[in-house]
Amino acid sequence: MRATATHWRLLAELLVPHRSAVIMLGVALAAAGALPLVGPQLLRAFVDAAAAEATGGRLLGIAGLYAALGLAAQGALVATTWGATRVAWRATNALRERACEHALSLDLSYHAATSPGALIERIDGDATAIAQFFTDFVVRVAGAVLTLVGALLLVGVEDWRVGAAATFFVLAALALTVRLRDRAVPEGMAERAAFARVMGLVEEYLDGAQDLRALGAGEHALSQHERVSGHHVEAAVRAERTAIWIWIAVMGFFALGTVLMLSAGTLLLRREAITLGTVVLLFGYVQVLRRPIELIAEQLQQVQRAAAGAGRMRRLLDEPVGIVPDGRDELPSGALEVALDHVGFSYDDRDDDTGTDAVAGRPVLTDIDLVLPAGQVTGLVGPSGSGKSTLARLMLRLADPTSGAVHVGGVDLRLAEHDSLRHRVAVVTQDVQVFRATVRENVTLFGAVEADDDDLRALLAELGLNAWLARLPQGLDSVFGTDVAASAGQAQLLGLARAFLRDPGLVVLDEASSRVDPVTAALVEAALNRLLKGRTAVVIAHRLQAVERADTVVVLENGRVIEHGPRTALADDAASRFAALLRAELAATGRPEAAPAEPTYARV
Amino acid sequence: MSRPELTGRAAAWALARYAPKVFAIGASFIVVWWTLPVVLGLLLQRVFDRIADGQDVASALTSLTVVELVRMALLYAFIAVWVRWWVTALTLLRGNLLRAQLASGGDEAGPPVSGSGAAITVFRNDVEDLVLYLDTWLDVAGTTGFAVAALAIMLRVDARVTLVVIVPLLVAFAVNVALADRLRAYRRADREATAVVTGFLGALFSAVLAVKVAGAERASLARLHRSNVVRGQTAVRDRVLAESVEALSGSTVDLSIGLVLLLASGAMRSGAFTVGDLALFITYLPWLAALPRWAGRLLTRQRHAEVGVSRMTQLVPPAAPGDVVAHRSLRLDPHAPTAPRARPASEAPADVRLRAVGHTYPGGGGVHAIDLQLPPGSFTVLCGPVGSGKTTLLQALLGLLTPSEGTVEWNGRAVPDRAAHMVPPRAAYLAQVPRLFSATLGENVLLGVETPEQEAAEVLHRAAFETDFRRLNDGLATMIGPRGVRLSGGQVQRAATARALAGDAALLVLDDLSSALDAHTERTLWSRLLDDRRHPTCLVVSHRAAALERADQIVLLEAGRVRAVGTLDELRSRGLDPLATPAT
Repeated sequence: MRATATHWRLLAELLVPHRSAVIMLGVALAAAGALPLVGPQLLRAFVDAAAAEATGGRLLGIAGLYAALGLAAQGALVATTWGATRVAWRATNALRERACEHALSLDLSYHAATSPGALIERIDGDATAIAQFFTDFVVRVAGAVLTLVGALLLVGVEDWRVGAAATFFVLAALALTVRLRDRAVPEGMAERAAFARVMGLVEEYLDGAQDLRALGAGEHALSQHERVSGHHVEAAVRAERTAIWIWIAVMGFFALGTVLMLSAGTLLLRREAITLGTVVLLFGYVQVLRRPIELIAEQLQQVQRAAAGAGRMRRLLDEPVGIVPDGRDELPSGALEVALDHVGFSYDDRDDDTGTDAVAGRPVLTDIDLVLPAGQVTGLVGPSGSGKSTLARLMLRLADPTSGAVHVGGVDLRLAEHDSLRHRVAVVTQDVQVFRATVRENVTLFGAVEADDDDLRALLAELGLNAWLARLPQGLDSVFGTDVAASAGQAQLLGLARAFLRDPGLVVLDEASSRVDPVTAALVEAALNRLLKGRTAVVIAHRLQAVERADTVVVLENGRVIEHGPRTALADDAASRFAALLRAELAATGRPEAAPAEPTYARV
Repeated sequence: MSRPELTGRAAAWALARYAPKVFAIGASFIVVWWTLPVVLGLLLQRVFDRIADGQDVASALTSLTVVELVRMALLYAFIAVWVRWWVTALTLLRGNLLRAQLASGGDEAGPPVSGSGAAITVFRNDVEDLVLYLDTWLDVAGTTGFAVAALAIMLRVDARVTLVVIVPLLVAFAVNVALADRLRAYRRADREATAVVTGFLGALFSAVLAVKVAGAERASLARLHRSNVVRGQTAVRDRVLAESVEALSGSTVDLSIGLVLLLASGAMRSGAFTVGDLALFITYLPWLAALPRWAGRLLTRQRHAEVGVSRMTQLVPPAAPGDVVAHRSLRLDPHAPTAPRARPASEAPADVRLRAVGHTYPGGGGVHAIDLQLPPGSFTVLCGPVGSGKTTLLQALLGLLTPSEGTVEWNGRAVPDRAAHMVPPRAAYLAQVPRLFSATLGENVLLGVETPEQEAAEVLHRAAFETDFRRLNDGLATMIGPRGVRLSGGQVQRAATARALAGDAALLVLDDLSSALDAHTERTLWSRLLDDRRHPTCLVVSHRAAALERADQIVLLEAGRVRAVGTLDELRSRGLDPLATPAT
């Protein structure tokens, strides 16, 4: 019940900006609900007039009116649908954008624990359920209830006892339908879950089709598909057998209603309390009642689904925002110095579903006190879980330290103006996501950075992508996925383009070249050598060879700095931790001591 | 050019014959259910005529109740039969398509689809469209049965009125037909607009770090807004047109009743057209209106089915489109124990020879005329820059790409169907980005092959997965994937390596193990594999010293061709050190 209340509040919130449209909709809805009520009245008038041997003109008039009102009723229905769908889509599109904006503002720990697929389901799936709830349930059921109440009132006007009996009858019908629906809901959910398992399996098998073909496991996969589908068959049979009782109940009520109403009509006619036309009218209203009862039965399921959707949407919107970008201080131009002032970081007590590695309360970083001079390259090394990535996130202000402060270019990041921060600090990640969008949109991230075509071309040429660009059918307007596919190496270079398009003063490189072959890696390295001139860089290295270019090395362990100094000095000092790590990696890669460092990137 | 085709109608007919008895029983239930309202109308006619004449209506009302009870029972019986038939039909179709996509060579193998995203809609929607089309035939048969009987009765009551009132029904049918195309176009546009929005959201949240650091939130939202506006428009258009078509058939009923009143007014005053006749017409007209509606739906759904079937046939062998609806017995009892696959006898390390093996992509790239000898028990490392064709060569060798060029000789004999031949126990493959499935670790590694626990543990050890394995609470029964333990990239790579090793194959093909492994783990893996004297013939892609140093031969690829072959020392002496990179 609470979920339903959330639902209505959310819906009301969404509809406020569309007040006038909602009012218009109400008018159309009232017309669509009321017009079917006129039909039986006209039928009675017709039958009684015919019995009274009225003039042909009067009968013709009634007949014409009947047809006209029928058309008007359907017209009102279409108008209602149009209005409702429009309002619903405008409102829920706004909700989608709000939810998307909110999701983007959430901490990375939230995203680490929530797959993009789950977020699509939240932002789009649940918003669509809410839109459907509005168009199908609110609008149609409101119309149906209107018709229902109207028909019962009009029957009551003819004979209050029949009206009272009919009202009782309808309420009983609705109550039973609701009960049956409640029984069907869990079965329906089980059916959908079984179906989702079938489709999940199919999707995974298709995705891994090559693996299965190469391993000759096709037959085995098919038997698994049949087994899971067998569960679906059983669940579907159970669900439909339960659900069909709702329809059988509606049919039964309708049949019973017809019989009872005709019996009552006969009785009243015999006592001459009503005319033959009124018997037709009462019969007509039983017909009118059918569709609303069916509709309400049909739509009740939607309420639960939409209520669950609204609940999930509400939870997403209530998820606390990680960082509020309200600083005012602009970052200076040129290379930026990074000063970490006794920085500590630990995850606060969040609920259980945020990541498994984020153990609440455990300090991830403890008392990091470092200055990374402007224009220098610093390598961050240490075993996984030592806090390298977290430290980098603090420098990017994707999180704020729980103690101490991070200063970039002399500005405490918590006071930094958001736009200037995003323009002056960049990141290059290991995995670069390529959008199904144009090359231009992919590099500028949909125009987040203003750049003319010449700048873009120059940058792509700098990254050695000019020949590739020249081959594209539409140049910068070529669409990834349609006109052009991106290899892992090209995606990596695209990631560099994104980062350097905005002239950053601080660049965080998350071991950018780990996934590419030596030739592409060399291309990346060469480009970095040029692009990093006059900028501060922090290289997060999972393998030590990636810090070849570093002037300074910081070794982290268990969230503490255990060593910090010039790379060459540390490498030469046999007692240093860094040298020990180098020796360990050499032993692991088995590279003979005499051989040149791997890979030997030429410095330009 | 004349390739066999499968039409929507032929596919539906084949499906109807899959379980003919069940289909016939279900069909007769629903046709009778649709036709019985003919009797209801006659009974109501009698009731009203008797009421008008002041006669007793009890027996007529009792008959009415009985007929309704029969219809309720029929509906229940129909559902009980039909749902099972329906889901079984869907499963048959999905199974047939899956069989074509997963078959390792042979006549059953269909052309592999790229990207499961597009194919999944075939498995979800197109399959359902075909079954729905067949189902619609039953409703059309039922409504037609009703219409024939009802019209015969109505003609006997008043031929003139009957002939006039069916005109609006015919008009409704014509409009339904005329709008079917537009309805379909609107629906498609709406689906496409939806895919744009969901696709964008997916990419956006996959790239959330880059988006946040670039401060591209606002720009991305603006882009989302644009797609949303388009989708809002397509959705409204689609919905309003669909509703209009429904409303059309609703207004036909009112129009027809109006016409009945109009035409019958004279006869009614004279008593030739009774109030019972009026009740009969009023009862029949909504049921009659169902026929044009269902006929219109049939046309629309037939088109959906045609499109769906043509998409389905793209997943099966081009020469055998009928495979889509091939009749196969399904083991749908979920409680029956699954028979484990028998383990095939292992073979000695293979002697493999590639002669002019290649594959050319539609765009022109690929690998060309590769000659290569892999002696039994040898260790060959492929390397070369991105795009040089390493993965393509492996896939061409394994027959995973069509068309494949050249020949592969296996122990001296040419292999006629590579895809069918290159499977365990002959060949096993680890893909560059291997896929695991949401199932237990044991299911993932063994793929249903009966294996003693001890042996499975040994395979995991050889794949350097033993430490991770010890940490799993349920051992081989541990669920992995989204609904179980989430494995890291390296763990996935090693579990998939174990899967390839479990095949106990004579030729082991491993694509780029190193991308997700640290150097130490990779070294461990190679030693465990190669230190075994009886290790299979190996062909692997790697750039790491750990692999290159142990290689019997290194094959240096460049732009789809072999640039050099030799040991690490030989290549170095020729100035082709694969570990170094050219100075830029």
